[in-house]
Amino acid sequence: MTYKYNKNMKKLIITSILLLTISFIQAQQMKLPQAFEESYTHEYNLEYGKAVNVLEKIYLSHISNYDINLRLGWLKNSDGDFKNSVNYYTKAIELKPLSLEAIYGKMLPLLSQQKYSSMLKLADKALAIAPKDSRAEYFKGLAYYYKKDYVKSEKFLEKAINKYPFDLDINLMLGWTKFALGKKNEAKSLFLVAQRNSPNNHRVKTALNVINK
Amino acid sequence: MDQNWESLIKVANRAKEQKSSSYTIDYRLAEAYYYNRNYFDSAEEFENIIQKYQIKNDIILEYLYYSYLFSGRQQDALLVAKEFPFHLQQKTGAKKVEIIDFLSAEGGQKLSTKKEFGIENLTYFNVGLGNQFGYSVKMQHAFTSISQNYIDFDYTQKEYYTNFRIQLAKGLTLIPAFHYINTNEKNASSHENNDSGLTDIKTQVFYLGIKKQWNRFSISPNLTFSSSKGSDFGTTNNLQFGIHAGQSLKATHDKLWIGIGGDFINNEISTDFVWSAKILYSFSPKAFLYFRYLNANTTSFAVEDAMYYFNSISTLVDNFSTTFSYHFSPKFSWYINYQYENAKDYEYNISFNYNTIITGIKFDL
Repeated sequence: MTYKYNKNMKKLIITSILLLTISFIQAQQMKLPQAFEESYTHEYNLEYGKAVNVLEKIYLSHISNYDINLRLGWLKNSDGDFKNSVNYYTKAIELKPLSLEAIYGKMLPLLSQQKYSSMLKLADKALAIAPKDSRAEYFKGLAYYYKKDYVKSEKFLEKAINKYPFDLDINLMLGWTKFALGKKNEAKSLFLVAQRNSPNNHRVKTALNVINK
Repeated sequence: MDQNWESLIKVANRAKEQKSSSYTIDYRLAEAYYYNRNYFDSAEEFENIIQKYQIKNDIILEYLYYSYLFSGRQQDALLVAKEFPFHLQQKTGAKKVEIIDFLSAEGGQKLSTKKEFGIENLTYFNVGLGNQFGYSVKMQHAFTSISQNYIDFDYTQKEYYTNFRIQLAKGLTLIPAFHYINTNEKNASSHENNDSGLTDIKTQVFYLGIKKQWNRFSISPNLTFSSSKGSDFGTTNNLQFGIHAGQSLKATHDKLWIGIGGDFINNEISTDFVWSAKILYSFSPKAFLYFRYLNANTTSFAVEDAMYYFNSISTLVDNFSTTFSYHFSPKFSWYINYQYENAKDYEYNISFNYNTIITGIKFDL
C-alpha cells in the first residue's frame, strides 16, 4: 500500500515538474514576440536602454536564439555599449555562421572602437561567404582608409563602386581616398556624383568645399 | 534655441546625478554644451564619452577638437587632430607640420614724461614667427630692436627670444625658453673724458615652465635663470621662481578669465617679489580686451615665459597694461596695446612715467 502510494506520488511529482517546465517554456516563448514589440516601441522613442532591458530580461531563456542576439547587438550599438554589441553580434554569427547581416552589423561597433584589423578579418569572412559582395568590399576599403593605407583602400572601393556607381557612401569614401593619394580631379568627379545622389547632404557639401579650396 | 540647450543640459545633468545616464544622454549633454558655447564643459564631456564608452568616431573627434580650440587650448586640439582621418584633417585644416605657423610684427613707442632730464622716448620694434613640428611641439622666435637716449647714455638693444611649447599630454605643457639680449650703451659725455664710452652687455635668460590645465583652471610654476655680463662690471646672476594661476569664469559664459601670479627674484644683493593680476574679457570670438597690472619695485626680471625681460637702468615700480585685439579673419588679427608705467631712477632720485603705445599684426598661415 505504502509502496504503491509512493510510486503514484513520484509519478505525480515528475508529471507536475514536466508540466511546469513546458508551461514555463511556453510562457517564455510567448514573451519573445511581446518583448520584441516593446523593444521596437522603446527604440522608436530613442530609449535604447529600455529597449535593451526588455530583451535582456528574457535573454537567458533564449540564449541560443539568433534573432534576439542580432537585435541586442544592434540596440547595444545604438546605446553606445560597443563592447557588448560586439559580443551579441559574435554570438549571432556563431548561431548562424553564414549570416551576412550579423557580420555587417558587427562592423559598426568595431568601426566606432577603431578596431580596423578586426573589421578586415570580418570582411574577409563575408567575402568567403559571398565572394565579390560590394558591402564587404566597401568595409574593407573603409578599414584600410582609416588605417591610412590608401592604395589598398582604393583597390577595394574601386571594386565596390563598379557594382554601385551611384552609391553615396562609396563615392564619398573613394573620393577622399583618391584625394589622399593626390588624385584631386578624380576625387572631385566622385564628389560630384555624390552631390547628384544627395544634393543637400552635409558630408557632400563639406567634401566639395574642401576640394574647391 | 538657446533656451532648449539650457533645458537639455539641466535634464541630462539630473539624469547623471541619478546615475541613470546612457550613451545617448551623455552624447546629447556634450552636444548641448557645445552649441551653448560651454566649450570647456563640452570638451570634458566628450573626453568622458571617449573613456566611458571606448568610442572615437569622426563626429566625437571633431566636436572635441573644436571644443578645445574654442576654449583656447590649441595644443590640446592638435593632440586630438593627431587621430583624425584624412577627410577631417582636410576639413579642419589641422596640419602635422607647419614650417611657418604664424608671422607677426609689432612696433611702438614708450613716451617719457621726463624729457627735461634727458629721459627720451624709447622706440621698439619686434618681428616674430612660429613653427609647428608634429602635433605636440610648437616653437616661437622673436627678434626685437630697442633704442633710447637715457640721460647721459645712448643705448641700443637687440634681442632674440625663442620658446618651445611641448604638449606632454592633454592639459600638460612644458615650456622651455631662451632669451638673448645684447645691449650697447654709449656714454654721451665720453668724448669729454677721452674714452670710447662704449659698454657692451650680454644677457642670457633661461626659462623652464610647466603648465597644467584642469578644465577652466590652470597653474604654471616656473624657474628662470638670467646672467648679464658687462664689459665694465663683470657678471651678475639672477634666479627667479614664480607661480601663476588662471581661471575662466563659467558664470560669465567663459567671457571672463582672471589670472594672478607672483615671482621671487634673487640676486647677490637682495630678494625681491614681483606680482601681477590679469583679466581677459572676450566680447565675441573675434575681439578681446586684456588688462594686466604688474607690481615690481625692481629691475632685471622676466615675465610672460621670459618673452619680456625688464633690464632698464631705472626701476620699474608698477605697470598697467591694456590690449585690445580684433580678428578680421580666422587668419589675420590686429591688436593695440597701451601701458602706463611708473619708474624710478634711484641714482638721480627721480620718479617719472612712461606712456607706451604698441600696435601689431599677426598672420596665422
